[in-house]
Amino acid sequence: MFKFMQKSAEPCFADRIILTPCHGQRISLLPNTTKQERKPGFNWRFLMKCSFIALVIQITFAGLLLAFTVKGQNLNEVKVALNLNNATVKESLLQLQKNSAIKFTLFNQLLAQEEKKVTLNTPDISVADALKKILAGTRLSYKLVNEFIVIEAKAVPPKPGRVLGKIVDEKGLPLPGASVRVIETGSGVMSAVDGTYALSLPPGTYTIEVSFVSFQTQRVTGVLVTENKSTPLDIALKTDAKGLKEVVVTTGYRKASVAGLYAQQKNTSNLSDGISGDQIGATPDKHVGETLKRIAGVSTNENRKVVIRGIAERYNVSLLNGSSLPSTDVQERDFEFNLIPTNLVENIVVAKSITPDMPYGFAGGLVQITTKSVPESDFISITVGNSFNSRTTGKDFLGYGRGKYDYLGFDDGTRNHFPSGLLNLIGQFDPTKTDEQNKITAAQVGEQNKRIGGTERLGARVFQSLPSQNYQLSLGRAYSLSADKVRKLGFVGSLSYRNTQTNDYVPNMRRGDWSHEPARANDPTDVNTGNIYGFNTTLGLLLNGGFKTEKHQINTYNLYTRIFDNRFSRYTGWTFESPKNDADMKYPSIQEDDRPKFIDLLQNKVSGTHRLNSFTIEWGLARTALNSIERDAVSASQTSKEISNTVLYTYNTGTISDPGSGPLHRDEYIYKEKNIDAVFSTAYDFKLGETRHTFKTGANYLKKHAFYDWQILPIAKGPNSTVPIETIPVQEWGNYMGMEDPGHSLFYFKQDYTSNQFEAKSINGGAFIMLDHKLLPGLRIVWGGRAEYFKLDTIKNSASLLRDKNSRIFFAEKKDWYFLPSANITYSPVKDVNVRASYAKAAVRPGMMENSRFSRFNPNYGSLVRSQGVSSTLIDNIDAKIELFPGAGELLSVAYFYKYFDKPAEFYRIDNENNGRGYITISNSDWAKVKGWEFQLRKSLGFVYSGLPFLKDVYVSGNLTLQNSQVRARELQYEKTAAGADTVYYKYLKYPRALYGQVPLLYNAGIQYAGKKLGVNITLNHAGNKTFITGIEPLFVEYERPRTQMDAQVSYRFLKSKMEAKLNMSNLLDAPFRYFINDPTTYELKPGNEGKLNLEWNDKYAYKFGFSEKFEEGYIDPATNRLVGDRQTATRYVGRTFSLSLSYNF
Amino acid sequence: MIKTYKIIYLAAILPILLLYSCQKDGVHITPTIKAINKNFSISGFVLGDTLEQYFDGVKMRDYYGQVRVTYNQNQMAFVTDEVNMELRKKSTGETVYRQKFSIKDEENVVPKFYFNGLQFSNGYTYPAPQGDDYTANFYVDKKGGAGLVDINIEVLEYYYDSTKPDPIVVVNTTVLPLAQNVKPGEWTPYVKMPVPVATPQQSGTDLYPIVVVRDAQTKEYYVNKNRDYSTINMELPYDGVSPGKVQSMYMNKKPADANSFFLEYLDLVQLFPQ
Repeated sequence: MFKFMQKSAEPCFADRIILTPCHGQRISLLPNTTKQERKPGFNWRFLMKCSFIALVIQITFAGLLLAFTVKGQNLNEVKVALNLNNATVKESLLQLQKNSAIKFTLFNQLLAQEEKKVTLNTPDISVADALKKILAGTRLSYKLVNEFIVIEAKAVPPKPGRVLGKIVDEKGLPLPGASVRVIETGSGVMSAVDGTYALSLPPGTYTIEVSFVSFQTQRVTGVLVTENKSTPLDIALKTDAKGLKEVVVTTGYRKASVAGLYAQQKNTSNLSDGISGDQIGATPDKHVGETLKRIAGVSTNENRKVVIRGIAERYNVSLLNGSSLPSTDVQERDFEFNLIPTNLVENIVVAKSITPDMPYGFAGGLVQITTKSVPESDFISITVGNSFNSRTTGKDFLGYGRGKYDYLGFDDGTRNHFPSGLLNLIGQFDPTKTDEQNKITAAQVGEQNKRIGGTERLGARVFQSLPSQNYQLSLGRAYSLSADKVRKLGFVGSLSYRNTQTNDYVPNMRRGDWSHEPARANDPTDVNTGNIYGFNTTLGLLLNGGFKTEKHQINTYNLYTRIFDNRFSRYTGWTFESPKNDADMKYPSIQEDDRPKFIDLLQNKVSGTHRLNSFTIEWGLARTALNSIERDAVSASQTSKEISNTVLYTYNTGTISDPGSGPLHRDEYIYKEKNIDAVFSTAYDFKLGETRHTFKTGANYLKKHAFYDWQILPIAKGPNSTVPIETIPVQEWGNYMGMEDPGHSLFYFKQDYTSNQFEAKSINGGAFIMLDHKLLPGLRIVWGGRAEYFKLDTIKNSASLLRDKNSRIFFAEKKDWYFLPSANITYSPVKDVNVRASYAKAAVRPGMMENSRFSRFNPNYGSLVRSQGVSSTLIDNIDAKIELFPGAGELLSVAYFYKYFDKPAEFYRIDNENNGRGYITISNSDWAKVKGWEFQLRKSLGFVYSGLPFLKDVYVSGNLTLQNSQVRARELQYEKTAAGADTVYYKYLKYPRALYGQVPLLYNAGIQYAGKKLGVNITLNHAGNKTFITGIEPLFVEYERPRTQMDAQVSYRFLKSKMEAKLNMSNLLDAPFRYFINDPTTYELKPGNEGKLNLEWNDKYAYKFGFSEKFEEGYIDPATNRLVGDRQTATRYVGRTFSLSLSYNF
Repeated sequence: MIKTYKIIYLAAILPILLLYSCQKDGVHITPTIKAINKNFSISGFVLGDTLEQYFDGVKMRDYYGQVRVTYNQNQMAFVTDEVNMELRKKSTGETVYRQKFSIKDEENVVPKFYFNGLQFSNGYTYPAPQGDDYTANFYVDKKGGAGLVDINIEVLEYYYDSTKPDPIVVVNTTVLPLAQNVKPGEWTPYVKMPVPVATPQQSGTDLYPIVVVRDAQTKEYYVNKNRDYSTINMELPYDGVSPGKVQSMYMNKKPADANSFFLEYLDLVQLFPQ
């Protein structure tokens, strides 16, 4: 035997060292190695050499050593003296082997991990006892092999694995209280109220038996449980219709699992589509707004607003964990889904047909976002990611001054320029007058200016744009409070941080107030361009918990999202009023808009499900609060002045004669909305003969309270002011606001014509009755009705523009109560096929501020956005769908839908002031009819060739929506009666047009490979011509041109699948968002219509040859040197994004 | 151990990234202007090649034809204490003139110059008038076309009829050639301008002399084949009344819109008075 011997007093440096007693003074090295005295200060080469030698010894002789018959030295009889004081385990063993003269085999790595300190002073102790005392409380044990004592790691028992799943009936409905038993061990559990169960078992192969009253008992063989892993097993039980109670159906694991999945796919009584957390994880999406468009029939407006079946955002309802969400846009009924990071989402389901128990009406779809639920097993995961955008990262990033904590999502106070109690200067201060002539003195204004603060933050500046970064820590814990009953408690928490910087490039802006065409068609420099710089910090905190037993389940959902979203728009160009000319408008002007918005969204919810015999009670109580503060939003314009050596850009100031907010103003907009949401329902299951039925009734209540407050602080100067603003940088203007010489100062010209406030409360209550009949095998009918009450009280409604001060909002809400019937039929004529049909009536209510008199310029529309008042819309929905489930996770479906809208609300561009630009407003049309087809496919490619097993893991998926809509528009007409009274009436247009938000063609296509380690996913999303803003004639109707986005993802799992790396590539085609208007040059008067007024457009005009409603680029007319073609109103590039993320699951 | 290291690593890297990312004050894109001098002037004449005007290395504008200050171009902004101006020949990029302006100067004046496409000089030179003679030379710019032109005095015999769309009805034209087959891009020699004399052919008519440019080959009017568009204003001699005069007429046919042109003309003698 070869030995590696070392002086016993020396520390061990090898992986494995055989120590001899102390008298081994010489070091005998292995054959073929050089004899070497140990020198002080070993270097790493020696360390490696020792390791290698020890490894060779270990590999070569470990078996041999262990094969030796144990020659029983009786360690109890060998006595030694020990003198150990706070010694390490290693030191103790060294002393023991020295004093006992027994050879020890030690593993240095094992010893190094032990931190125990040993104190043992005894003159006479057996080696066995000494070893016990030294090794007690360590992860080490010893054994006697031949003449050696081998110190080794204690044997670790294998960690148990888990079998998790859900027990459902053939329809996929959960079966709570079902018995789940393991044949081999006799152990078992009951399924919880939601049908879920979890078994903890040592690794092995088992047979699971599931039984439940009036269902056939089912045995599933070959259930493989592996160490520390979860085996999913959903089981669908068949009804014991023939009373064959003794029959036990035995089936294999795979077959049972697939059947369980089928049953759940087929479960829902309504038409719905969705995307799971796993599927979301296979996309590069950062927030829900990006994900929604991947669901069949869903598209998004600029990744923020959801359009379902081509129906715009205001007809879609969003629920977060079952509770309604506030509108994030104060001028629209809309929830911006970019508020919710995808990494907090468990799944998103979009319901497209209505059952009476759905608390809120919709026409397009009900977007149900469920955040991560209580886990079945413990987990900790950390995700770190970075992303790079081709148009942003490393490029100049413009914006106004930042705060110290912008990267953390909080304001550092530098934007706080809106103290309370500011003086309204309207009619009370004129800088050209003396103090005696003014009600408010110059000193008071100077003091007010000081309180408001300086202009240090103003003025565009360049920052360096950085890659986006995101971090997430998630933690899940599950506790079982009982060994034999379902008593589960658990929670999931998640903390996430993301900072994203974007630079959208707008190469063309010809909307609203911007010039609509170049002054000379052949002048390539006469173009309006811009950038939208987005700086977004999102903090997400989620804490969901739950407790469940066989009959009860209580969950709590708590989500807090903090967003700092700063969008800085900077457009350069010529306006509609002042187009380019080579004289005084040779150079463009600049319009800047800085909108730093801090949003807090907090939702707290408690919900419960209780099953008491045949009764199921469900309830939920939620409070959702949205605080959105736009602080120090700045709108500023700069005019150009060509001087000899440069083009001078100067920020413009307002004047005291300007009744508006002027060209430069600092604003604060505070929007607060609180929603209290309660739902309650009771369902009673009963049988009539062989048929099963459920009677369900319940009520819901939603109270909303919205408050909006705005302050606008224009910066102005007197008419005779000599403040040289051309040479004073705007960030130093604050130094000229002392008002020592009022005629020659700058000042905040706060001018409030109204209280600048909006406040409204709404109550939405409802009660329903629903009957769910499972009549024949495969036939299910769900029908009922709900009575819904809606009341909107507008408490304060200030106009934000002087010209609107005396205008009234025309708002015709017919009645408070509506009765809304609905019916859904699902029939499965053959296995794996569902045929569905449904009818439902729904009411979509106005948003809280859709009837406000607040108006604001939207830099991206280039227009003011106002409201004319909106009333509720009633919708009749008819749906039909055929679904085929060819295999697990596979789906083929065809659906048809028809909707009739009574008084649909739409976004119009109107031009009542006849200035050629108009503004955007929301208003009801008379009616709309929408019909369409929807196709969906998800199929594994395993059928292509069985010789390539990986094809089973390759799925192709796609969905296609074809839609068509017709609207009868109406125009409000004003007239005086014979008696001289003002009246209004509607003029109805006879030619229908498309509904606002309509997308006639929409498809998604994708191919996905999901291997054990490698995952590849490529998706294509296409949306056809979208009606972006509608209007009374083509000049005002704006469309979005078709857009195709391609995304890809490659993921790889390593470190035993604990770590996953994802490379996401989004918008690989760099597809822009492009908008257009059918320009008047593309149509002409029909013969004989010259000079005729009051004709509808279709009667008066016709498109020229080669032109239509679709986009046609056109040509330059050589006679006029002008474009004859559609006006490209706006184009926006968002760039390609590449992101890399690493997740580690502990 | 791995867990601990991971968490420590992440905990350490997060604030580093955050701190690194924090950039509170960017660089203002609008430079701070120290002063604006409102007494800048530049004047002169450029032909043959365009002159590009650069300030501190940044091109501001092209000069061709008459150089003058328009609108707010009399102002000069100083971001630093000095502004450097260069005039570069567009075809070669060669700097033909440079001048520095100081923030301290009350006036920033570029001396009047003449650039003939090759040489930059302090002014346009021309001979003094001889006795009562009217002499003139002509320069037709190549930008209007390379075809030869004729420049004549044409004495129109006309009467006025306000009932017609064009109320001036020309009944006879007497042509007095000034310069024939003028090659664009070159100054013609000085020619003596005759006194425009003609005998009326009809009664009730008047005579009106004009200087007009025609295509030398087709004899059509040079601009838009239209007499009025092809006429230039020149001072014509009157027997026994006028003192002598020299005129140097520069002409350039420029596009007005897609289908028509106009004739820009300038008397360089007036621009560069001696």
